[in-house]
Parts: sequence; structure tokens; C-alpha cells
Amino acid sequence: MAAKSAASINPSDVNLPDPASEPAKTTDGDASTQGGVADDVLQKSVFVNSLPIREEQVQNAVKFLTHPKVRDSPVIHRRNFLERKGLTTEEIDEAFRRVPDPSPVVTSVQTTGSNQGGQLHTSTNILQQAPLNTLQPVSTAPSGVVSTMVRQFHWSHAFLAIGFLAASGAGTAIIFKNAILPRLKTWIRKVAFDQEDDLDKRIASRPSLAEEAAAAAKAAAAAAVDVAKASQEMVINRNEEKRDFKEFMNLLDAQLQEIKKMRNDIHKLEEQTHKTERQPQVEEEYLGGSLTRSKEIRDDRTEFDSRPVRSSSPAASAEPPHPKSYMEIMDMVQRGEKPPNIREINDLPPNPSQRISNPSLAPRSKPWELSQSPNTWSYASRDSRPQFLASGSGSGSGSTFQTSGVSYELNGDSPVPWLQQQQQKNVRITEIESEANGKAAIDLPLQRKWVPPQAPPVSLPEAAIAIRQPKSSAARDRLVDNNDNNASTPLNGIDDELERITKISESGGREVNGGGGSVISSTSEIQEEEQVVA
Amino acid sequence: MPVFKTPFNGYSVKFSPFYENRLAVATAQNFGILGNGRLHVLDLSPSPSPVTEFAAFDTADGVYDLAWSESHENLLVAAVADGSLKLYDLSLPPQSNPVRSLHEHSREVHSADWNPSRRDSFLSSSWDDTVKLWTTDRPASLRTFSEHSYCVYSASWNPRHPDVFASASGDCTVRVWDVREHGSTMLIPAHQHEILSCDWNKYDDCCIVTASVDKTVRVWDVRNFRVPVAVLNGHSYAVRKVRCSPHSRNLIMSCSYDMSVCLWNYMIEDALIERYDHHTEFAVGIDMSVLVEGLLASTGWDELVYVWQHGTDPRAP
Repeated sequence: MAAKSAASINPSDVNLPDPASEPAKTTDGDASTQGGVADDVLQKSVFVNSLPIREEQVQNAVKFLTHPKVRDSPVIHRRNFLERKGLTTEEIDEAFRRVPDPSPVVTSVQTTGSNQGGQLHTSTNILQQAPLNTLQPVSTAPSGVVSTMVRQFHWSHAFLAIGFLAASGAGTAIIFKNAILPRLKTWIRKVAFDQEDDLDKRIASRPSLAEEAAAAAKAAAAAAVDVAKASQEMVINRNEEKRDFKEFMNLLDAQLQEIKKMRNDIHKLEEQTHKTERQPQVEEEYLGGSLTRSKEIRDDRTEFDSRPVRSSSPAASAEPPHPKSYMEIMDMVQRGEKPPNIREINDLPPNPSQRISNPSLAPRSKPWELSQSPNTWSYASRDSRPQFLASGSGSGSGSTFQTSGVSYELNGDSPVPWLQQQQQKNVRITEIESEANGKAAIDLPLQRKWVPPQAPPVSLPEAAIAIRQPKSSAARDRLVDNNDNNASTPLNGIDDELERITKISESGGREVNGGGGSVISSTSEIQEEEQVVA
Repeated sequence: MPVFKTPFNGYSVKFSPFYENRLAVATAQNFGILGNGRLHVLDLSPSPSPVTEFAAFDTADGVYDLAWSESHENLLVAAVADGSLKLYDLSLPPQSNPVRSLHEHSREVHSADWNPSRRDSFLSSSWDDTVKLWTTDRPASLRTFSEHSYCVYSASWNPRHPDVFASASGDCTVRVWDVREHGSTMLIPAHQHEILSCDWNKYDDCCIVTASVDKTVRVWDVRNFRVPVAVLNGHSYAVRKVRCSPHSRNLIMSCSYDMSVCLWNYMIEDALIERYDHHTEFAVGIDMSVLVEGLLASTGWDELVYVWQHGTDPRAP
């Protein structure tokens, strides 16, 4: 299994179809038809989202994207929201394609329309314009009737809602006009009438104008006095309330001061206990460090304002108990102070064009690179624990759990003879691979050193030949029908080559003399040719 | 068991791919909020003292991660909180170091990963939402991958496909990229919360493991990425880092803000096989040695680095 997957994946050298991804390809054949020719090339690699586009997810995304609030947010946040909901990149791109590109006029118009719901006329005009504008770009989009229907449906929804709001606003205005104002008017009239009636009566009883005027003046004065009294009372009440509020605030302030004092006391107590716990070195640094320079505080203020916000984000959802000194430092930084133990350090390279020294050790092959064949390699373990760990406890070796890889141990020497040991033992692994690993590390940048191992050895040669033969025999039959003699000899030659390849892979490359490496490297080419022929 | 006390809070620990007894630790002052950083290179020896410091390099800002070169035994790169990557050559004297400073990211560089197949290139992932590809011979990045909408916390090369890597981001997605392609080739909405770490299975090239703020570690098959292969519960706070074993197909190591380091076998029913509670603050960095099977290392905000063999007690003297 491991060998098969390792042998199959070598994308840039040979564009062979990946057996691991083939199940994905066959089950998700729709994706290839929808995605186009370009996506077929990508699907050769396993590391691609090769699922078909789900229409309902795309529609949900379209609904989300056309929401007016969403339109205000930056594109990348919208994308991230959809990604977190589990949509693939293709689905997200399709949704973005379906949502019409919002022009600045339309967006501003839409936002004003949604905000000013009360003004009936203007809003209806705007809304009538907006659907027209949106309908035009939507009709040009290649999406089906469904999306346009969805859009109109959505717009009628919004239309209805705003209409309802406007109607209710208008209704309240009308009610106000029709019911309350008349009441006010009648009330005022009533008061006026009463006064007039009184006056008439007085005129009837007392004909003199002066008396009437005096009486009216008295009434007015009395009313004014009443009003003045009432307003004075109100003022007094307000003043009292103000005073009460002020007292209340003072009390609160006093309580706050007390609480602050208590907190400081607690902090001091904690500091004292902390100081006894802390290591002496740290304490010295903390207490004896030089005082901060005010310049640096100002310079760094922007820096460390932003970082504390970010540094607490990894623990945002469930806050673990932070160490107390951590909280102290956070408080200090948020207040704008700098912790006293920071030094000015110049960590720039003294010579930016300094030549990096040459490596003297060869890179060591990784345990997973060696164990690509399913065989388990066990080495005679002389010393199951590394030498540098003190020889205290006994059985603490790594043999407690199953491994399919190699168990390493220190032999105290330099790693190079270690590597040579491996090379002697690993005959099955291709020589190319061990050579590549044994070479010096300095190569041209991005040069490929990892070479895939050859195909696993064939256990049943008859099966291998049988697998390969039907195609060649069919081809041979066909060609023999067409051309009697000419075609047969080259095909026979190819057959012979096929048998030879099978034998080579069986033997693991040992049988072939001399050019063992070259034959192995050419088997991949021959396999390519074989595919072209078959 | 070797224990090393660092002056600053630990952030990452990695074994050298060349020397069985060498490892490097990335640390940052004041929990990495604001302060200097230091990169330690430690050597393990049987006696007299189990851990000695081979070299230490100070940086102006905290070091969040490091990566050893796969082609050069003395070269390592540090991911610094000021957005730069610093290359150090251990064969040169300390005053000649760093040999390079690559500054292109506009925010903190959260992780660095060296390509184990090609051996000449490495990735840096940053809080500026991008991942950059670098080689040691060029002063500028080769590629910038920017599709994430939030901090990229981790990028990891596929050990069997030299041009494929995965990135884990705070936008709750994992993206699989191919260096030869223009954009990402695959998108996995792996969690409902931020994803802090990802790593490929060394023995199954389609298997990827993710760790998230939602306290779970999930195992995914990229061929069927809608449903995880396994969901590993056991941590009580966010899982900070996850590593697949270089020696065993089913073994996963994880560390969490619950201060524990756990070992899992995701193919069995009761996946949690080992739990270590040696740290007294957040456990933030872990590594499994490629050269020595079963050798584990961890570091945390309690300023301690532990190295121990699987199955033993890290705090045993």
C-alpha cells in the first residue's frame, strides 16, 4: 500500500494517473465535465478538492452574498465565511460569479433605500429603479431562470417589507392627523369657549368695561402666578434630583476607590508571595534592570497596542488561566508602560554578505524514506537507549510500541559510517535513492534529489506476463490481420522487452550486469512506451 | 532526565537532523508580549551535566520558532516577532552571527519549517496572513502565498511530496498548496475555531493532523476532507502544537495550554496513550527526534526545556 502510493505519485516527472485519486475521479466524474479540460490536469494530483459543485450550497451562498449587510463587508471576509461553512473554492467562485458585480451607484442607492424606510415615495422610486438595474446584469449572466426568479422573489420580499413599514408610518401620521389633532383643537376650543362664556356672563351681569378688563387681568395674573409656581416647583424638584444624583455619584466614587485600594492591596500581597517563589536570577533582572527610556515608549506604542490584541486571540474561546505575571505585563503594556527588563539589542547581521560555511556532513535519510517497502527493518540493537541519557532507569527504550520503521541507536561515531551501514544492507531499495541521499548536500536550488523507487517486485511472473499479454496479443492479432509479416517482428521485439522488464523487476535489478542503474532508470521510460503502445 | 532552564519563556524546541544529541530552543521575554528573544543551541551529554549550552543568540524581539537546515548541519533559521527571519551559522564565531536577516513580513513570524525532501528551502508563516518561501542563497523570498484571511500560525511541508505543503490559520481553515501552482489547491475547513498547528503524517502522504483552540486534535485524509478520520479529545484548553512521529505511523504528540504534553495513537479506540504534566505553565513547544526513536522534547512558558525518552518520567533525575 505504501509502496504503491509512493510509486504512483511523481507528478512532475511522469504524468501517470494516480491510482489513489482514481476512485475520486470515477465517483466524481461530474466534476471533470463541469470543470473543463484544465481541471483534468489538476485532478491527477491528490491534493485537489475534486468534488462536484453542489447547487444548493451555491444558492445559499448567493443568498448570503446578496444580503445588503454582507455587501458592505470586505470580499475576503465574505470568502472566509463561505469557506468555513464548507464550500469548496469552485462553489465559492461560482457564487461570486452569480452575484452581480455591485456598481457604486446601486450599492449606495440600496443602502439608502433600506435605511430610509419611512419616506414612502422616495423609497418606492429607488426600489423600482434598483430591481431594474439588478435585473439587467442578472439577465446577462449565464445562470438559469431559477436565479432570476430567486432574485425577483427576494426583491419583492424587500419591497413588501419596506412598503409595510412605509404604510405603518403613513398610518400613524394619518391617525395623528385625524384623531389627536382634532382632539387638541377641541380641547383648546373648549377652553377658549369656556373662557368666552365666562366673559359673556360677566358682560351680562356687569356692563362696565373697566371692571371686565380688571377681572381679565386678574385672571391672567393668577394664571401666570400659577404657571410661575409650577415652573418653580419643577426647577426645585430638578435641583433636588441633581443633588441626589451627585450624592449618589459620590457614594459610587467612594466605593470605587475602596475597591481599587483593595485590589492594589491584593496585588501587593500577590507580588510578595510571587517574589518569594520566583527564581533569584529573574528577580534580579526584573528589579535591577535599567529604567525605560520615554522615547522607546512612544515609538513602540503603536507596535504593542496591536500585538496584545493578537496575542490573546489563540485562547479566545475558552480562556485558560494565564500566569499572574502575564496579566501584569499585559496591564503594563496596555497602560503604555514598557516592562523594565527589556534591553536594546542590535541583532542585525554584522556582515550581510557573510559567506555561509560549507556543510561537512551528508544529510541523513529519514526513517520514512527508508521504509517505503512494507518490509520491516530491524537492526541488531546494541544499546537500546541513547548514550547521552543517564543510565538510570532500565527499560525505557522505544521498543514499547510497534513501529514499522527503523530503530536507531547511537554508536558514538560520526554519522557517516552509519550511513554506509545502511547502504550495505538496503539492497532492495534502489541504488539511485541511496546514492542521492549519500551525495553532498549542495546542489543547485530546487534540484530534485528524491527519486521514486522502482515498482515493487512481482511475485507471480506468470500473472505479470498474462496481464501484459492480452493487450499485446490483441494488437498483434489486429496487425497480423492487416499486415502479415512486417508488423509482427517489431511486436515480437516489444514482447521480448516486456518479458525482460518483468524479469528485471522480479530480480530487483541484481541480475542485469554493469548497467544496472541505467536499466532501472530506463524501465520507467519503457513503461511509458508500453503505455503508448498498449 | 536532562532539564534546561532558559531565562526567557520557551516557545519552540527542535532536534537537529544531523546530531542526535543537539537541539535548539526559541525563547521570548515577557511571554512574548514585548521584549527580547534568545535562541539557545543545547548539547546533551552523559556527564558531567546532562545539558550544556553550545551557543546562544540574542535578538531584539522574541523568537517564536526555529528550523534546522536539512542540508547544512550548522545552519538554523529563527522566526522573530519583529517579522524577520534570522539565519545563524554555528561554525562561525558568535560575533559573526546572524549571517542573514530576511525581513519581509509585516507582522510577527509565527513559525518556520525546512523542506525535508529538497533540503534547500524553507517556509515562514506570519500574522500578516501570508506564508513565504525562501532559500538560503537568496535575500528575497521566492514566493508569497496569501489567501488566508487571518494569521497563519503554522506551515508544514509534506514529507513525501517535495512541493506540497499545508498551512493552518486563525481563519479556521487549513490550506494545501503546491509550490508549482499559483494558488492553494485544497481548502479544508477543519475546525470552527482557530487552528494553531498542523503536521503531515510521515508514513501516509494524504494524512494531515490539525490542532485547534477548540481543544481537539483532528486527523484528516485529504482525499475525503469533509469528515475527519479521528477527533482526539483529552486536552482541557487550546492545543498549541501537534507533531506526527517520524518513526511510527499512528503516533501523534501534542501540547496544550492545559500545561500537558500528550501522546496519541489515533487508530485505537482509546487514543490517549500517554500524558505528561511536567510543565507548570503553558506547554508551547514540542518535538520528536528523527534520529533517535522515542526521544521527546518539550518547552513551555515556565522557562524549562525537558528531554526524555518515551515511557519515562521527564522529571526523573
